[in-house]
Amino acid sequence: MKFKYCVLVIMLSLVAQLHALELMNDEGLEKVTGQNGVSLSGELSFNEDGGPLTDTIDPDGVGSLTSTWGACSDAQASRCGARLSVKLNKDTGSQGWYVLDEMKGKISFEGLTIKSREITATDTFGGDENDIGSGMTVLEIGLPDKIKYENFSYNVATSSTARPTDVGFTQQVRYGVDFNGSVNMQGNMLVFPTGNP
Amino acid sequence: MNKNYVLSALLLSGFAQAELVGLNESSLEDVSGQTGIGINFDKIISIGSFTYSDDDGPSGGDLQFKDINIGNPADVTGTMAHSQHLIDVDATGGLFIDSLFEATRLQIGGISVGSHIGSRSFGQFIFDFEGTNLLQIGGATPSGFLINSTTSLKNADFIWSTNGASFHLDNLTIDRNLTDAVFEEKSIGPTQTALVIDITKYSSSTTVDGVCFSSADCGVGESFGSFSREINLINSQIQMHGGGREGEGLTMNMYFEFDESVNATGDGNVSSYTDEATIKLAKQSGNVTVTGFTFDIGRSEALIGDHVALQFDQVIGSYKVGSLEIAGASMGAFEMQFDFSDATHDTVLYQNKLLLAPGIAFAGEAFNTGNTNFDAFMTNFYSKVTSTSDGISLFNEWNMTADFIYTDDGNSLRVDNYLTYGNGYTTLDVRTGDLSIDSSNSTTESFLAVGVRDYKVNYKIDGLRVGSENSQLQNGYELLGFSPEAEFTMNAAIEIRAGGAVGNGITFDGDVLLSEANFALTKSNNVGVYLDDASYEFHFRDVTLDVDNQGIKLVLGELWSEFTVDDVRFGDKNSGSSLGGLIVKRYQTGSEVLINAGGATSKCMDGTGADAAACGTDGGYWLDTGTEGITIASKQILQKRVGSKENSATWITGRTVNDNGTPGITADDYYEANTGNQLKVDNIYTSDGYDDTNTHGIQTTFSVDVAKTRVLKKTTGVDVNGITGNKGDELISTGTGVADYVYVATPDAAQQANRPTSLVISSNTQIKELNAESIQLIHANALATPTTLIHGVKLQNLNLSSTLSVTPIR
Repeated sequence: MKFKYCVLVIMLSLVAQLHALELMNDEGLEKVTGQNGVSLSGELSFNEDGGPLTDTIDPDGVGSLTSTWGACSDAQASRCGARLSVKLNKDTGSQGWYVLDEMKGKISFEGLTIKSREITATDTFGGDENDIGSGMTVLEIGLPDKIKYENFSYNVATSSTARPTDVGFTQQVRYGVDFNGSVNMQGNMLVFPTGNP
Repeated sequence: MNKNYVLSALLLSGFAQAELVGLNESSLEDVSGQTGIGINFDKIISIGSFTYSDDDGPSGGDLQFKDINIGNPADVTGTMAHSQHLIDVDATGGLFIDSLFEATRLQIGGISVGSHIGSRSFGQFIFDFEGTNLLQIGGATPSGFLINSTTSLKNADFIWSTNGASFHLDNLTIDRNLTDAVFEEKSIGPTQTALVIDITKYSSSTTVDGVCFSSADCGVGESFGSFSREINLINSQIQMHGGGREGEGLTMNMYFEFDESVNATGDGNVSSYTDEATIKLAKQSGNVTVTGFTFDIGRSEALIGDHVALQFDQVIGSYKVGSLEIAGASMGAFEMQFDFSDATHDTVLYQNKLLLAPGIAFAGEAFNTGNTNFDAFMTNFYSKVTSTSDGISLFNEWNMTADFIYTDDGNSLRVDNYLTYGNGYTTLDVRTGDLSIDSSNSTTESFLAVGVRDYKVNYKIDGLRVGSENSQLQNGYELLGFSPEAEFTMNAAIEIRAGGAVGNGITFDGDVLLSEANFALTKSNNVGVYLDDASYEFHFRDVTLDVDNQGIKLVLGELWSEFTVDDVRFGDKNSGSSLGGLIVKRYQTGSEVLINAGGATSKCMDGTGADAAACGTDGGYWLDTGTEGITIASKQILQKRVGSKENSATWITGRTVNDNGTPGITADDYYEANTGNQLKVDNIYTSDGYDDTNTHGIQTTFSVDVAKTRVLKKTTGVDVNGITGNKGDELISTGTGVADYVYVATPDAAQQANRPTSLVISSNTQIKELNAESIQLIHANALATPTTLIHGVKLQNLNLSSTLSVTPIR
């Protein structure tokens, strides 16, 4: 269960400087009567059966073929998920990469809403209203009621090279995450500008 | 007066070569019991000039056609063209003229207007044809003339030439039937009479074998492709009377209506374009009413000078394509309900008019668009021609409101209350290959040069309505990638060539600048998120368009662009709070786009199952997207930085505002250059995952459908339309109105059949490898020495699929 909250924290922290959370209330609902905006339902799936990298290669050029990337159903392939590598330190020959590795799975949701909204003097946001201010327009992202995860997984690792097919590749998986189940959500995320543009 | 003498003399000389012939026996069969005369007409006609004038002193001017020749196409001034004419009175007492034209050329050496006469023209025009025409003129009841005619032309060619190059419609066939048209003088108002033509029925069939840039026949691989059109009209009318918008001239009112009965079988009213495969606009229907169309010779427009002025008070109607097909597959139906009427916006009156002047008005000019980098491209484009070059210069202005309706498998999507207005200048001319803006192009390949100057465009929509015109207004256009409200000024230099990547097709090169722009990203409740003070400089080379069995294929050659936004505003589009500025640069080569008909594959949502039954058993619902729809597949190959061409994204904040000497007035404020701090994702590029090979890029398949989908209530209670339900209940439609629905805890099969209609967007994105060289922090005091925050980002092996149903917020 704690991993679900980890995801939420990561998602929300990406826009931490730009949003405040708001609980839904009837007053808020009244204000959207007859307005447009959009409600989204659907699903996202990552690498459910692998990605576009499927080649068998000769990594060191001496003739031994390795099937690094392949379909998830391919027992010969050592990996089928997506991989995001980030290098934080300047390359002096010893620094490695932080990696989100083997990302795959499916997320489905119902009722994610998006609309622009002008804040009025009567709106309250748990003490954050002063940061927004009456008359400010925000992008209101209404969180879906439920997010359902199916075999959603990834590893957090450190690696010597960005590509797993590079010469000298070594990797340490720090921890892995595997989601199955649902997360119930409530409230809105408000995105708005602050500071000097 | 001398011109009239010349004309009369030339016509007489032409008639002098005619000779009387005996009646053709087969024709006589159609006029039994009658007698008549037959004429063989061998002619070479040369007219020095022919001038139409509506100059009445304070307004008007001359429209001159010069060097008119009629003769045989082999040698229009040296060999006679032959025609036969049978003239008689048929059994009902009407005049009967049956004509046969052997190969004939009508050639015009130049058409010019007003003060341009003698210096530059619209170009030279040739029309070659052979064929027949049957014209019957009788008495109408109770008054007027009753006219029927049948025209059939074949082996026809139309050639427009300027600057030593030619645009050619090759091998046309033209068939026209006019049935029971009544011509009579009628009163159309308290003080106005007009020639009124009531058209009971009119049918037209046209084919063009090839379109190319050559005076010779279009060769294989040198043509746009072939075109055809079959149109049937009924119950139409044309009114014509003298007097233009200014003084003398011509005024017309018109009504045209498609004959929908022909759509019952086959393609009906249809237009098509064929390359390797065919794009077809089948089963066309609708009508149009044109009020107050005027034709005048105008004077002294600010940039194009004296001109032909075409203007109308209103054009209102509808146009529907019952089936838009690409390579045999149907995309669905499209309809447009439109109203072109004059209107005032921000104290400026926008009228619907088109002004045409001869020559290239901006030839040799040094441009000043406000973007010095782009000015060089425009100046170079117009440096290839001179003030005496032939061509067409246009000024057009418009104001239009419209609704657009797309219907996919019987489910409709309406783009509601589209409003657009604006004005601007365009030039058109045909040039030889050596005048290209791209030195790598063939010097022997002529092309159409299209220049656009200060084209000010404004548009906005209210939103989308899915299901019916009474449905609740919603967003969703953001996911389709278009802005709901925009304004910009466009300058552009574009070259269009015949021939595609494979065989026939179209090739484009061009430079486009959208400046002084404002784009809405999203809006609701009259507020939104806007990209303000934006500029989009866009260049493309060797872009080809072909149609084959896969669909419409664009091979994008080389693209590079820079999109700058001064402010990302929340609230008002010009004064809302700003998130800062953006600069997005793109550089691609070898990218492709493929557009085809047919949307996403039907699938199980929120569950697993190969069909509706299995899906329902698993707790999901079956999303049936039908057979129609739109699918766009693209491959974007992002290249590493080359010179100033790169892929990067920069966010700028903390800039210094210059109040421009008027403190308190923000309208003319601007940000000081080289102030603010930047966060830049630098040198983004794709590769194939192992080395620098770069052929895969970002491959995306994007499908758009309109289909019935499941919508669950988000919270217990009354929704925005006053309908009560519990959290998790399913919305079931009971009608087409905004509040015509109920919430049902467990809908049965009949209720599930009435699920609401929604926009369904399906996509799949595949990336082998996407790289960013670095993410940098750039301080205003150290622009040349950025601080690197991230020393490299690499995304590999991504295969991301999504299916989203888009509905209103209830």
